[in-house]
Amino acid sequence: MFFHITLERNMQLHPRHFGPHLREKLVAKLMKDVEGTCSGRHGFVVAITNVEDIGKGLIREGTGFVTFPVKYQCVAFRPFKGEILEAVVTMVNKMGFFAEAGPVQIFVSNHLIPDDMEFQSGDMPNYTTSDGSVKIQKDSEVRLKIIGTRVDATEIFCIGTIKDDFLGVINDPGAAS
Amino acid sequence: MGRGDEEEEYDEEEDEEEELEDEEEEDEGKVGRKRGRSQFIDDAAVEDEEEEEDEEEEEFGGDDRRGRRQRRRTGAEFFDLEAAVDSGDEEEEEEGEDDFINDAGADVPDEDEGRRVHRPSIMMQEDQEDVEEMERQVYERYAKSSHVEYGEDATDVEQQALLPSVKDPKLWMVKCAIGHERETAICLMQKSIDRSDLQIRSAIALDHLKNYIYVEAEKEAHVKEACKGLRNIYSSAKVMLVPIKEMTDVLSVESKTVDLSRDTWVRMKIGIYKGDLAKVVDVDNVRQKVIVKLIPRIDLQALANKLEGREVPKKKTFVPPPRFFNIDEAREMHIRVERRRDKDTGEYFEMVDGLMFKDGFLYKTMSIKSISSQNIQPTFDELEKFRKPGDDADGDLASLSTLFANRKKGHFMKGDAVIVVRGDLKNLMGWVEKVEDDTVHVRPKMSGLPKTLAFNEKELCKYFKPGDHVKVVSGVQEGATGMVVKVEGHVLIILSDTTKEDIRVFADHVVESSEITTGLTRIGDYELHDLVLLDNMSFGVIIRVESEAFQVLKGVPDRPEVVLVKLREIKSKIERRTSAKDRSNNLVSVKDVVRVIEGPCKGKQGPVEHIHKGILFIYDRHHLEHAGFICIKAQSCVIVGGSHGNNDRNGLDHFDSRFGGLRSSSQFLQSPRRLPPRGPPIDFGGRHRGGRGHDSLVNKCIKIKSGPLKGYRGRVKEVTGSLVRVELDSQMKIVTVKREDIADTASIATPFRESRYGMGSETPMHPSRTPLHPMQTPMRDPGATPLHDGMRTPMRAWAPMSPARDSWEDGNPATWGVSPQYQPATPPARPYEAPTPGSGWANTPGGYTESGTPRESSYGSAPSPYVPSTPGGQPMTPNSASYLPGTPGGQPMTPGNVGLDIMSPTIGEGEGNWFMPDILVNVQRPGEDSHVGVIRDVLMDGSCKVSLESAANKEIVTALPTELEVVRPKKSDKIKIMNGSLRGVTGKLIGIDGSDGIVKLDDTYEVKILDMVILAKLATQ
Amino acid sequence: MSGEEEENAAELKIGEEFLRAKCLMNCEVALILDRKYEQLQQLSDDPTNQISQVFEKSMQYVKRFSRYKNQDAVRQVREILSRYQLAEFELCVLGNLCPETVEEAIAMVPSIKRKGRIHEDDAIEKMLNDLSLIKKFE
Repeated sequence: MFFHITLERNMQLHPRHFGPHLREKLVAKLMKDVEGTCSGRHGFVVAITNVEDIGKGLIREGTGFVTFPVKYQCVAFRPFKGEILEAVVTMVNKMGFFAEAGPVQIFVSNHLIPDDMEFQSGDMPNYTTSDGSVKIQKDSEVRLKIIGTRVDATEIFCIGTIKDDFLGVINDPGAAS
Repeated sequence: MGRGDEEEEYDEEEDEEEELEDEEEEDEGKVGRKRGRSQFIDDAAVEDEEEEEDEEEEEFGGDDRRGRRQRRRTGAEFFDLEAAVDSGDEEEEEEGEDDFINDAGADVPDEDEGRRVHRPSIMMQEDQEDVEEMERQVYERYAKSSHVEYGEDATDVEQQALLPSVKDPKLWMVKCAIGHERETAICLMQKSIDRSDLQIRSAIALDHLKNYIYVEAEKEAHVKEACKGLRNIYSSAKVMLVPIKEMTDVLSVESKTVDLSRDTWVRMKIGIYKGDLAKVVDVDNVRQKVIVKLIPRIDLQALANKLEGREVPKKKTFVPPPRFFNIDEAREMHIRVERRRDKDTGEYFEMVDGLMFKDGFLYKTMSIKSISSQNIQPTFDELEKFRKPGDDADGDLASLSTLFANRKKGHFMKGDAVIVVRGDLKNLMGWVEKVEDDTVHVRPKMSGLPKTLAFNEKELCKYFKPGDHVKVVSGVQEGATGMVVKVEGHVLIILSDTTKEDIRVFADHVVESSEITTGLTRIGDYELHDLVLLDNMSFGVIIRVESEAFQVLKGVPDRPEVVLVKLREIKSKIERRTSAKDRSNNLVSVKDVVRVIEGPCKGKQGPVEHIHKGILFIYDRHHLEHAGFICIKAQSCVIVGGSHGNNDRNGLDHFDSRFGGLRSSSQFLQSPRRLPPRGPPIDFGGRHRGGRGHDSLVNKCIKIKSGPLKGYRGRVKEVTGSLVRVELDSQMKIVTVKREDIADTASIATPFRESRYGMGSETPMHPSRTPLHPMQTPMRDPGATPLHDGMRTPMRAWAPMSPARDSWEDGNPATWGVSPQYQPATPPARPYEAPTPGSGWANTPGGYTESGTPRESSYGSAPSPYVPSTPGGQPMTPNSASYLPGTPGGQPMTPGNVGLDIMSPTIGEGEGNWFMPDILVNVQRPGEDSHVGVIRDVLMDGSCKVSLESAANKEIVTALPTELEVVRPKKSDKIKIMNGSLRGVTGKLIGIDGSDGIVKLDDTYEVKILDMVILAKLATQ
Repeated sequence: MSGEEEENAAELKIGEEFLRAKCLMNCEVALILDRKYEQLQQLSDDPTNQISQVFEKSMQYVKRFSRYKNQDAVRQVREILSRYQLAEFELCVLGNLCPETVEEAIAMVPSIKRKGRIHEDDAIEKMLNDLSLIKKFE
């Protein structure tokens, strides 16, 4: 789920940047530092939308750097256990398939794919129901439920399931376009 | 009770004498055992009834309880066949059936043996003249045995009283001929009967101990006397005393036999079945026999031949593979198969040539000694094989009991999610609240139940649900981590973090953990993600390490080619740093981020991990195949955000030139000094070393006056607390010596003061030192610096330019890893001069180049302490150093910069300034032992108030910085960062990589890589 | 881990912080990112090099999975959904997934039925109808 959240960060700035453009510098550094990062707590910071407030700088003893508490708003993407979302299948193998929902990778193990879907190897590996009516392959759009998340330093990895009601391949991809 | 299976109790009954030790435990075990029982009665039909009985049972005591229990087990055991086992009374009658191995007799001698050991001692006593003594002995014996029989209420104290004390005769270990242990013991017995003057009390031969017998006697001389003349005891044999503490162990019965219960998994120790997994079907403790169920390894052809009286080749050439016995097949080969009903159990067996088969399994009677029951961890394959139709639930339970037996202590911990697997409350879920020995207090998930319920450990199994992230802590897959994708009873299917493949493990072998380990990452010298040269001159990156081989992504662009190679097929690791040119002819080096602009991987982007022969290996974490590695021609890529590696390449070049130059002059080194604004960073003797150990001692020529290296001369490279690293003149080698071992130490008292306040005073010093540099530089650099350049500088330098998102780059004081000597050398060739197409935010590289700053380290990245008291040193003045040339707002950059140099450790920062409250230090004062203390306060002059940990009253002393040495943190210590932009921040050291520490910050949970030098162990309050 | 505090979006256990935060539907995110991307484009010729992979992936994703493209429609969706006393999170899940039946809606957002809130099936149905109307007239 995408969120619009307000976060705070202490930005350290070297005094040489002080001047009329101090704010711009801080903002630029903030964007550089923060956008694209990922933390377990807030998820991926996709884009900063607004800098709400820059607090009073505090000179760090011993270094001369000045720390500014910066309050900013950003679009963050954070997957939750139990969340249902749509994703694009990126790879299919016999263990299951990987899908992406924005920056997040989700793995759906074959144990979590309905039992009536069988793995078919070949050029375009896929999972297909016995009647062939439903097929999951690369670039398919699926609706899945996240059942577990793992947070690394730089990414969040999820495992998901499509073994539940109303989950699986999105029947009408036209609706999404 | 340690092994609370009820089987065991059965053993107890049969073999009570042996249970002396266990007796007292029984009381505690009762509760648990009652619940544990239904393990065997999984079939629902019986269960209900059983449970009712359970309650009744509480009221019964002692023997009745036992009888019932045994009976019940009996019932369950044969439930399959006895459809009518439905009332308790009936079961009672069946008691005898337990004994379904009926072929007594065969093993009598065996059993006798055991008794014989006891008897001689009694007889010996009889022969003794000392009647009183004998009486005492006899009394004692009887006391003991009666104790066993009625000893259910034995207390600890009573038990203790029976242990041997110093007053009792001692036990001596005597070496004898191998294989003649029993014989020797019997000889001794005979001898002691024959000769009344022998003063030994007993002689014991233990089956499991070869080459030795035990003799009980008061004195060593008595033993020697008794052994004299015995053929099996060498006269030279030493007699060893068994320590009192170990005496009981000698004679205590191995719990091994007790562990053997029905349905446990065992392994064969001998014969063609050696190593095979088997399941215990019945145990006869008296005869030390078990009946096990195995997958037969029968060569039917051979069997047929034998039965028909044909010639049987004497020597077995091969061991037949395990296969279920098939009657039809056997009949086809004209093997006579008899169907016989076991007279006791009523079970039908197929008999072939004296072998018993049932359901394809071979039922074999084995001596307990020839099977091993300890630490059996059946693999899934084996269990799978055993799981014949109609056996499933049973199999699960059996493996459970084996698993439980192998549980380590402290298996459950507070907070663990558990599920009850046996007893009335089966399938109840909850969380562990408290663990007391074997009793686990569980807070049930279901409401309406008491707040906590107590369970025996054996009734619980850890519970995981899909999505949990776990770590495997034992078993074959130990060390792996992953997420649970499926739970099948007590078996979990885990998606491994590393391989993204399924692993099947027992829930018991797993703990919940957020840790992510890679599992196996290395064989021999080769590690995951290394670039290696293969046999046929091809090369590739190791993308996966398997148990005996590597998967290597070969360096063939266009189409990924993965090969499996064995260790020996790898020629060598390719470590040479090379570079390549990208599509726009920019130099690409390792760690540069490139984007693939053509080919199947078009659009992928990531840092270059390896370069070889114009081929790049790019790591893109979004690339799912080949562990994220993409192999691509350099020409198919463009560099993103400017190269950072360049600068390190330059650095290397310069090393080379400095190598050459070192003997001639030091032009490179001088250059920085010509740049006045950069005053402070010019020279600190040695970057981080200098930073920490800045000290006028650095660069001094000294002589080592004591210690193992006494007499050597050398130059001080670095001072760390009381240790000094000295480069020996005579051997191009750096050694670490104690400060007090150095002769020329006259100046060490002053440096701190001077450096702290004295930017000014510092500068004048330089000229005097300059001459030293030419000599010093090369010597140090070849060893230390390139490493840093390669590893660190580029990354850091890169941070500001590229849209890098590595937050840890920021404020990473490890930048100091760059040697100042190196910096001066770089300026003219700075990488940023190179057009850096699309270098992210840094649209105006000129901003950097103009300044010619050698130190392009990222803006925030190397915040170093500079001295507040010397504002003159601050290069704030001339330019507004735009570290960020292109802000999104699009302001033009102010060209030029200066101040970047300020980042480097300023001279003003002596060690003293690094100290900060709450860190642990070693206080080493002259003439005193070193003490560990905690800095409470740092005074103006740099000295610290330290409370000594060792002193009872936490005495507070004031120590000079020179007397203090920061205690280096170890892995998983709490740390405080002493320098850099994060100075004062606390965190946890989660790993150490060479000179870098991987730190997880307390407040932000960010992970940073910091130089170990600036990390101090935090005092734990 | 006591297990009980564990996050579970189905029960709306997503942590106080996120519960209070404003959630964004994919279509809203698409608008925001689009605007940001345009801004970047003005500043540089090749914005692809400036944006993070996270940004890029997110943008692709939300464009692919936006049910409503039109800015007005997006506004309407939020307006309509916010009449139903939904939590932000629930609102956005519904807006993203656009369930067609009441049953589906409950499967997607189980919390709308729990929590003791008054969500009659009729009300849910009306809500879904309203949503599909927007789509129709977009």
